[in-house]
Amino acid sequence: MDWLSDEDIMQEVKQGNTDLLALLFHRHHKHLFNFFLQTGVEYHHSEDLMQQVFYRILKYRNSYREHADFRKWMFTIARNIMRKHFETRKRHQEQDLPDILLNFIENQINNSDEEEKIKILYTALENIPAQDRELINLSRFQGMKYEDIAEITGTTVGAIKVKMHRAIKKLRDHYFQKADQ
Amino acid sequence: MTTQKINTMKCNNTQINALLTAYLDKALTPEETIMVEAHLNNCSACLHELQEIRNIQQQIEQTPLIEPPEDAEKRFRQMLEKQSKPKKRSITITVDFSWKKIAAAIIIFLAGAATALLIQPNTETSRSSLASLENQVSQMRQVLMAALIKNDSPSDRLKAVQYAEQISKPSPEVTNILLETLNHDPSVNVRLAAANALQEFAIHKEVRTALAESLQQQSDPMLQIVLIKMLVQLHEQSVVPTLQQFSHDEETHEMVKKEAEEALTVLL
Repeated sequence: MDWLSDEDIMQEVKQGNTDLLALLFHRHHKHLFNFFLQTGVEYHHSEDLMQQVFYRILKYRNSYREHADFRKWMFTIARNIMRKHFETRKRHQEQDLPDILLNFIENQINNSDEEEKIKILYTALENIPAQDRELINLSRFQGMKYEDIAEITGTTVGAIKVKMHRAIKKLRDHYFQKADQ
Repeated sequence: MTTQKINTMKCNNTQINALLTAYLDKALTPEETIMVEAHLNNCSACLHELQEIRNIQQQIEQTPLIEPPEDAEKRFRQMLEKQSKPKKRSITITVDFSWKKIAAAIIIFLAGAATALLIQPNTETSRSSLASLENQVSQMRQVLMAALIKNDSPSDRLKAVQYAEQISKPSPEVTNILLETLNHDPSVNVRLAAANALQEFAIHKEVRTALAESLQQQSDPMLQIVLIKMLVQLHEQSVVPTLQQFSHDEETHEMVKKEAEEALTVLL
């Protein structure tokens, strides 16, 4: 099934072949999971939100427009669900990053120099607002184009250029402050 | 120290400076790119900043993703299964009532017919009435089967297929229902039973061709093997292209592939 595009599969799902959604889940759940983690959702909630995103895709499969970029649609839904999640938890702006991000590094990376750098990156990420983490994640970790990010976040490409630079600037300030010490 | 260094190197052209990240991401318009590049030739502060952005972006790219919980996919599949069930149930409620009525009708009919036979066992008409009785039971079976096959429970659908097998002269309608079941029933067991029932009717050329066509649609290896065996037994030549496809396709289950290759040596 690997030769089928996300969009082809989603079209099949829309036409009632709902089992195939498991394929799209398989392809994207890891990235989606990390999108939540890195924006500041705890480990178990991240899984819950990830399931919710795909449940919603299933439920609203009929509203999928033919040939529409599947990842863009998925992240739009993910962002809405995450925003609701933060609202109900009353934790805006200053979310801590889940412990797993830092603990995981200690367990997985043997090279202590590399480990230190990743730790600094995550600490820097923790010190910037969730909206900025979200932008950085979509652009750098998910490799999305500015046009797509603009559509997902409901703004213009021009605005994204500036917002992205501000987000990176904040991250950079924290990152190099730590690294120079 | 660091803060001082940054302050002394600050660039005053905030408009151009704001585009630096987008410049690295190759997200600028050609005009903007020319502007930024011209600026970079004269501004060491921005050049330094650009290097820092590049460093941090590289760092991000080298940062591994975290594995989601192992059973996340399993949980999703379970949810998918649950979601696809309730819909069928709501459709079949009405059928549920009707087949019980039909079953009751059959029992009453059989009881009545039996009493009638007991009362006059030795008349001349007994032979013909027995035949007509058989005929009517057969018809009843067809009706019952058509109702049962729509049921939500796989065991009821299995029952339906078994009724079909007992029908002596099946109407095209019965054959069609069985073929439909073979191709579309969600339960493998019911599909297998339908395949077996159809074998009984394979004297008809159309049924054999339909079985061969069905093989192309089946995804379950067990069913594929059963169908191949059956079609080889029936010596159905039209299945050859499908078998060739199976033996070349990497996606085909190994056992099916073996079965198909063996079948080809027999059929060709």
